[in-house]
Amino acid sequence: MNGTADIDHTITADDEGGALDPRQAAELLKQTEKQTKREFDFAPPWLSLFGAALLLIAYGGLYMAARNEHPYKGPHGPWLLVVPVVIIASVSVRLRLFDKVSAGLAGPTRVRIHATSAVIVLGFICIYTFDAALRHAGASYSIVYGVFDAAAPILMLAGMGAANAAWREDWVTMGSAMALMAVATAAAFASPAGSWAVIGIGGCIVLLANAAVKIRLQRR
Amino acid sequence: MTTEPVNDPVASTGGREGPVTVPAELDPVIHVPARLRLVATLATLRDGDSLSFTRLQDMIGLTPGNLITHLRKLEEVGYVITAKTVIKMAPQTTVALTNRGRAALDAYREALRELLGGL
Repeated sequence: MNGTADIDHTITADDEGGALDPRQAAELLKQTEKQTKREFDFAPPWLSLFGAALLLIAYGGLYMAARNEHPYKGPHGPWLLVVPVVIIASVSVRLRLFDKVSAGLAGPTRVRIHATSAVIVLGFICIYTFDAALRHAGASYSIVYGVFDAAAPILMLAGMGAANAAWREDWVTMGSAMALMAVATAAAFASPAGSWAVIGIGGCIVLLANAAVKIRLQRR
Repeated sequence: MTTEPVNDPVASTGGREGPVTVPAELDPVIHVPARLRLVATLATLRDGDSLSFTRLQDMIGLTPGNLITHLRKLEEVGYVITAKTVIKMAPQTTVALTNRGRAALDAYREALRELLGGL
């Protein structure tokens, strides 16, 4: 291997690790697989806890910014400031995580991460372009800045999350992402302001449950 | 349990008190702590993915020299493959498990299961 030619290649008995009986081998195999899965976990439990907090803060803030409007015009006022803060926090934490988990990794997984990021950016552009198209077509503020804006980002992100989790065979995350999609869809039946609250609280509960199940599975 | 002395010079240097006997059912190339951890670590990667030498070294906790020696042993029997890849615009040596290596680990796991079931 290039760049490592001056390294001592001798091997000692300790390097070989000594005798290994089948029971020890089975335990070593189990522990190694467990540790490695954690090292390459793109959706660890703490990320779900973090996501639950951010969703509650962002959607809670938007609900507070829209709850007293009659007629409904969409969230406005100082509560809106929580949104950019939450977006910056979420993106920076996820980038750090992806950077750490994918360090030294080459191949389809790395390509997939970049492709997924590009699709998410394009998805947000499409959602807010669609906003403008809805307004242009005469849709009410309740639809555009209420039901649609509350549900569309979650439906897109959760849909992508479910597909990615299925590819990784992470069934817990896939189930949680599908539950998030159900919450976002159900929120459309609440009032325009209420849809922010339903997604904020419902999504938070789903993500907390996801974290709890993952922590339990890791401790097995 | 059926055991037999292993002629493999690396596998047989395991103990300080003489050659290690490896159950005949267990692949002697894998049945060494460092190589078992290497193969198990690489097996968790998705098909087509590979891992840089430095990340692998960090994860396994071996010295570079020992890691190279174990990887060569695995490469000789076709269980792993090394390649030069560019990661984040920097050339790196990467290691991946081959289909043969994956099959060997599956067989090893199955052999362990049978042995332990019989204990």
